[in-house]
Amino acid sequence: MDSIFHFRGRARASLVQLGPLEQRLLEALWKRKNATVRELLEAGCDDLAYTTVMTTLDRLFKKNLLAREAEGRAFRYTPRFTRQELNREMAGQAFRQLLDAAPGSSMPLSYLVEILTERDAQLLDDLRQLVESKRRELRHREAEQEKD
Amino acid sequence: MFAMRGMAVAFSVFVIVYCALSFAVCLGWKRFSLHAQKSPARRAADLLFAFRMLPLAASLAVTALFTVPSFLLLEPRSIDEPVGGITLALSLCGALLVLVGAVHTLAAAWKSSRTVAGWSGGAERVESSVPVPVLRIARKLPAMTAAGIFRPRVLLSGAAEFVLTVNELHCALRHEMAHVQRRDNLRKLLLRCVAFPGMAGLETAWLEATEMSADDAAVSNAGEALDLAAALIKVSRLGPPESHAELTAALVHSRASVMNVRVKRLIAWNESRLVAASGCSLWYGLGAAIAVAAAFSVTYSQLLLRVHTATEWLVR
Repeated sequence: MDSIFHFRGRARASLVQLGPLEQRLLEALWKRKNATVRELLEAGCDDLAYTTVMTTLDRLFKKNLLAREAEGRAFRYTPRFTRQELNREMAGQAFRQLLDAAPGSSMPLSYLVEILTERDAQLLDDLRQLVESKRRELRHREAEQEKD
Repeated sequence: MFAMRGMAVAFSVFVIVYCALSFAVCLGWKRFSLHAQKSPARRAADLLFAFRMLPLAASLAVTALFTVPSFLLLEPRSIDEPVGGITLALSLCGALLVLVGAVHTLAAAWKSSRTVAGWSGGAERVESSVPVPVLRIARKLPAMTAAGIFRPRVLLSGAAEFVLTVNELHCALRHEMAHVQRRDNLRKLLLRCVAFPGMAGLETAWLEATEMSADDAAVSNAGEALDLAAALIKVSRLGPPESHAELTAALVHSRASVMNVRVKRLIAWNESRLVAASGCSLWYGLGAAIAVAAAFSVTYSQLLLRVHTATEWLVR
């Protein structure tokens, strides 16, 4: 509970600004559970400079998203939260910002409903296309069977 | 006093078994659901429903088959034994639980009946091949829903009838008939009796499984599966699902994002699902019931003695 409290308290403001490099390194750490800078470079981040990875990991540590412990002259970094926990917190933060954006609470909620409706409509369009393509495929197969 | 003591013991045992099992179901339903989802949709729905009803069924069975008979047969009537404070509190909780369940059920049935009556105002009967009345309602929504618990009927809006092709309409009607035949609305009513916090996830999983089960029952080839998928998409476009009709089985009962799974499942329909749907779970159930009955008939008197010892301890 303590860690989540810290996470919510200290890291909230900066979560949305998680840059692509930070996201990439977090992903790599989620896959490996924990790693040093050297291990990350060897595990597929070799297009990045050692100092870039080190600085980015340090930034993530300061954002309270990573824990670290000394290992020789380097640090071993471990994600403090799972992917789901982080996603949930980021979504929550986005909703909170939206709700705080207008003095009346009904307006942002109506935006949310609008966005959900748009997404639903888009999803229904995609599903309809899937059904149509499957129908064409089925007709084509039936036609071929008749020919045979 | 004897009768009062008996009722206190019965209600106490009922509430203990009910709460313990409900708590176990709350903790274990996700794992159970993962296991159930490996089965065909119809069996998954049956398993999830049985798991949800297990606390009520088991607590009723323990109370009616063991607690009450052991009390009546083995408790001496001449001794005026006082009922302990804990037993009294537990029995009051049990009585309250039964009362809340009954009120909840009656309120849901009454609310649903009023909602359906409101929808059906000015409805006209439509000729159809299904064995229950199909009524065309004046409203746009609900597009299509199976309503009624003891006198089932299918309500169909003019808008849905207009947008669906003949084949799509037939598939959608068969989907609703599957709900009627499996008495899903009655099952929803039964769920109202067994209120317990933390069960919403299990009930949602069951609801999704019933929809998939009805989808499977409605189609018998890939063409029909695509017709039903198209019907779901068209009906979804008519508007959001009605949220206040809890004891009805609408063709589309959730937002598009949830329905996505059903449509994709229909698109991926294959013959194996047809074979899987005609399982013989009833025979397995019957065999298990006979085996349990035989085991109990042999050990019943011993069990009564043990239950009586346990209730004696409870009363003191």
